[in-house]
Amino acid sequence: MAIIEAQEIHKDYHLGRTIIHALRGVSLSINRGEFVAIMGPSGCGKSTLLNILGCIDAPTSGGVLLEGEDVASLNDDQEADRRLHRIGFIFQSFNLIPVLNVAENIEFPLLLTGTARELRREKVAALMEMVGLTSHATHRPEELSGGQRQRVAIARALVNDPAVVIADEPTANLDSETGREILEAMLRLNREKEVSFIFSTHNPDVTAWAHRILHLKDGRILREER
Amino acid sequence: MLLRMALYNLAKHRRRTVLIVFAVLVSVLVMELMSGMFQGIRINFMTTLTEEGGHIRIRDPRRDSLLNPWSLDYPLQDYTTTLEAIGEITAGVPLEGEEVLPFGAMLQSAERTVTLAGVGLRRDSSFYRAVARGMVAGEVPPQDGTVVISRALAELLQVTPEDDLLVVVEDSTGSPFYLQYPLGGIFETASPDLDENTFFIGHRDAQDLLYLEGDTMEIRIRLQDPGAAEGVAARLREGLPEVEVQTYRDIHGGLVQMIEMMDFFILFMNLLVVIVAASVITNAILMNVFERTREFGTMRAIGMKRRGIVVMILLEGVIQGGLGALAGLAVGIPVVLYLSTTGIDMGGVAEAFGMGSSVFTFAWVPRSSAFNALGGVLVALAGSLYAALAARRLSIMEALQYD
Repeated sequence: MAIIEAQEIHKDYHLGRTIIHALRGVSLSINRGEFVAIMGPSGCGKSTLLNILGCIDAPTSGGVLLEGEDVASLNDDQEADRRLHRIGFIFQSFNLIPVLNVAENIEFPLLLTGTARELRREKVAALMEMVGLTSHATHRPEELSGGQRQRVAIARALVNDPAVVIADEPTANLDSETGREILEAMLRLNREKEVSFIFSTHNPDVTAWAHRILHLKDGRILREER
Repeated sequence: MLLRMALYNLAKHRRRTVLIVFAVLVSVLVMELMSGMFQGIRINFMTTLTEEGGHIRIRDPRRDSLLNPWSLDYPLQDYTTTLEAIGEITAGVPLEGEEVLPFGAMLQSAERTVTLAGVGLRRDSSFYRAVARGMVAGEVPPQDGTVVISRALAELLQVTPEDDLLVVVEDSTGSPFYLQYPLGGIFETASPDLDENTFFIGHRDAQDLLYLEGDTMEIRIRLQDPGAAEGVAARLREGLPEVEVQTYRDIHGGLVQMIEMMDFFILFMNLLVVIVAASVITNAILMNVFERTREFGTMRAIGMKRRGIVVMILLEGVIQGGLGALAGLAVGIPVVLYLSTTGIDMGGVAEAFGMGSSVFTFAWVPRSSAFNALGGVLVALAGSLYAALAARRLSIMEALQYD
């Protein structure tokens, strides 16, 4: 069974009288443990597609199946539950919670699931170790570099053992060296934890690592590389 | 965690937190001062009202038909028996009951004559304490065979202590009668009614003067608990059907109602304060929330439910409201307590409110403080609720794209 399946996704935006067709009938499926990159020029619909796959946005038409479950049939709270338990999201601009430190940012999703304190501590410690930020546990986001912030975001996305992690241009705001490190970290986690990764990127190095590359243009999948 | 995040957020946005807490503090402080003032008006007024006239008055029922309030027709006969009966009927109720003999008279000195009201008080009377507090010479109730007048009257009549005054009355037979008494005391209050229109004499002397042996005009009762007046009056009416029993509400109905309407006035004024404070607080909270819209979007994207956002914002409101309310009480209560002991000398304004004194004292009522504090918290909570609902309405995409 595919982890995520998109069926003929259309997404339109209305800007006054103008309708922008951001996605025009996109269909795809992501299997367990896959490392899938979505590439394409700016404005081709990458972010829109990832937002819809991550249950952050709803399509104009078409459907998304998350582990076989139709997302459209879920109410607001059920969708939030799916995002919390089954999906991890990494944002281009990190989107860490500024009043919380590194450990607390990673811990936040665990608190939403009501995880016991001891288990929370263990998981947070393990993930901080995994992303190499144990020594920065008490630092606030404003005290971290871009790469460090993104690593916190990755750890946060993984803390609830999601089935899939969706990353919208995770290296866009980083220098090439750091961006490469981030992609390597994601790949390592993909292999170690068998978590599916779907991410958008402009980084050509990804061709060496991704199981699949989907090329998007004008809201359509142009071609797929394996 | 939500509580911790709320506290962190409040600490991070310190200036806005201080503004909101300060707004709540000021609103609670104003409400505290206003309720202290109006409770002071009410208590002072009621005390003055009942200090002279008591909480219950007993007299002959036929006196209602009299046009002349100073008429000596229908006195209370055999009042000592009535006082004993009152003691039995109201057994267990802490009260003071005594005979009082008000009458109309003229005071004549060598120089002037004035017409005013006389009051015959027994030696151990507990009424007219304002006069007792305002004695500048002598004492009240007066010694047997003396009269007590105000300083203003003494100056008008050009008399000093020990000077003789003629008290001229129409006695119970309808005949004019007079007796001479030395001036035994001088008082000064801020009440025109007492200072300009009343003099005091011993009850026994008044009985002799008015030819009312064994009689009095009324019995006044002061209760320790004014709230028990209606109940006690009902018992007395049942036990003493031959007399008329009136509570202070029956006697001063309109005035008492006016004072009791103060409750609504206080409520109205508090509401005004709350509305003004709410507009400031809501605005500040809204700005604080909108600044964090993107953060809320992230939380929702991670999996937080809409109600989690609402709860977090409401927690911040409750904390700010609680802090502001406590600070408002910390400033307001000592001020009210201070003004309840020292008072403010407001001259004619206090007299106009029937205070019986130019010094206006506040009154601290713990229940009012509790309501005021609750009002402060609710104001902040209401402002937070509005902001929380606004934040709740945004979709995740709208929140994440917020700049």
